[in-house]
This record gives sequence, C-alpha cells and structure tokens, in this order.
Amino acid sequence: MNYLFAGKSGVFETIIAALVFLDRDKEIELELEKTSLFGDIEEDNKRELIFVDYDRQGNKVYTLGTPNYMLVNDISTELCRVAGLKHMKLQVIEINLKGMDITYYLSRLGKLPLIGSWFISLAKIWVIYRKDQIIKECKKMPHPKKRKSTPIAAKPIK
Amino acid sequence: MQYIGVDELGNEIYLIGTKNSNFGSTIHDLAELLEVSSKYIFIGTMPYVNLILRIGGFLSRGLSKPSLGRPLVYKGAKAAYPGLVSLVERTKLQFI
Repeated sequence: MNYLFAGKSGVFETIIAALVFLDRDKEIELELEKTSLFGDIEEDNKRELIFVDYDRQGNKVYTLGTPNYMLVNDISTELCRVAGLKHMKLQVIEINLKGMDITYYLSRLGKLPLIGSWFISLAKIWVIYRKDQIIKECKKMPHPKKRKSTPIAAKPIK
Repeated sequence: MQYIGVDELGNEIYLIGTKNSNFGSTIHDLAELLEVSSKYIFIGTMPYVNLILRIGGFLSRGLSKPSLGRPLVYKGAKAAYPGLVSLVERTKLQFI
C-alpha cells in the first residue's frame, strides 16, 4: 500500500503531514530543512506526485498539490474500478487545514517574476509559524492504515 | 468516470471531468502508481475548450443560469467539433 497526501499545495502543509505520518515530526524544522521539497513550487506546479520517502514497511509516501484535491480519491477509486482491480494499492489522505488557503495564494504569487521568491519565503514562514498546530491537526486525523476506503463514483454512472 | 461506449476494436471509452485543465499528469501518475496505466490511454480535450464554451459552462454551472449558458455551450461545442474530430483521428492513428 502506498500513501498519497493531497492538498491544495503539495510542498507545504502536505509535506508536514507526510513527515508526521513517517514519525519524523519531533524536530520538524530540521526535517523540513533536510528535505529539498519544502517550498519547491516548481515541483508543485508540475502537478505530479511528489515522492517523500518510504515508511517503515517500505511503502512509498507521496504528496500532491492540486486545487481539486478532493477529487483525487474518487479518481483513483474509479481508475481501479474500471480496470477491474478489487483492492486499491493507494491510500489517499486529503489534507484540509485552517490557513491552507493563505499558503496556497502565497505560493501562487510565488510564480511572479522578481518578487516571487519573496512570497515563497513568506509562505514557508507562514507554514513554520503554524507547525505545531499543523502537527496537532495531522495527529488528530485517523491513521491512514486504519481508514476504510469508500468506493464512491465521481459522478453517477448511467 | 462515465461510460460512453465501445469503439470498433472493442475498447471501452470513458470520460472524466476534473474541473482543472492541469490534471493530465496527475491522472497519469495515479494510474502508474495504481499499476493500471497499461490499461488506459488518457486523451486531454482541454486544448479544444474555447472561450465561448468556458463562458457558457461558467454561466450554466457556476452561476446556475442554464438558460443563458446552454446556447453558448452549444455554439462553443459546434466550433470545437472539427478540432475534436481531428484529435480522435490522430489518437486512433497513434494508438490503434
């Protein structure tokens, strides 16, 4: 089973959520410094899955940033259903935390020429400032391994 | 995913709407991770969505004014039709 943390941005709060999942949240600032992914909006803008690390069981942990992140689980479920797979090898965890919209808009402003990097730094500061709250919220979420997947179609199938 | 039908070679055709033109690489990556990518060919139609279609869609779905939006969607779809036909033809030549 692989794990995908999906949010509006794939390189800010979702990275922290993935690190919490990997039990690497004790010195989160150090961990964020270590990972080059934190605040890397070029990686985020590709809209591809971002590999974070392996968990203790060797499962791959990814993040993804997309404005329609709530669709990711439905799309994965549908891809499996239509392909005739009974078990999905991917667990999608949607990350929706307070303050994420501000991070998202700051990261969008990060695309601007010349002053963009300033907004990215601001987004990083905003996330680090809320790190304790983010970690707390992520720990409150049901553990992905204990979650039940619900096969719901994205649209009613006629 | 909505089932549309079967092509002349028996391949099933589905459509999926994602509200976002930038979702192509995400779906492709998801399919690879789920190990089902060999079973799908994803064809993006967003390059053929013109301004009239966008405005019509926004009026119809976004502002819940289908009486205003639908005629525009109809006009936009008519304008996009030749491009979509050539997309299908190119896809068939490329993959089938």
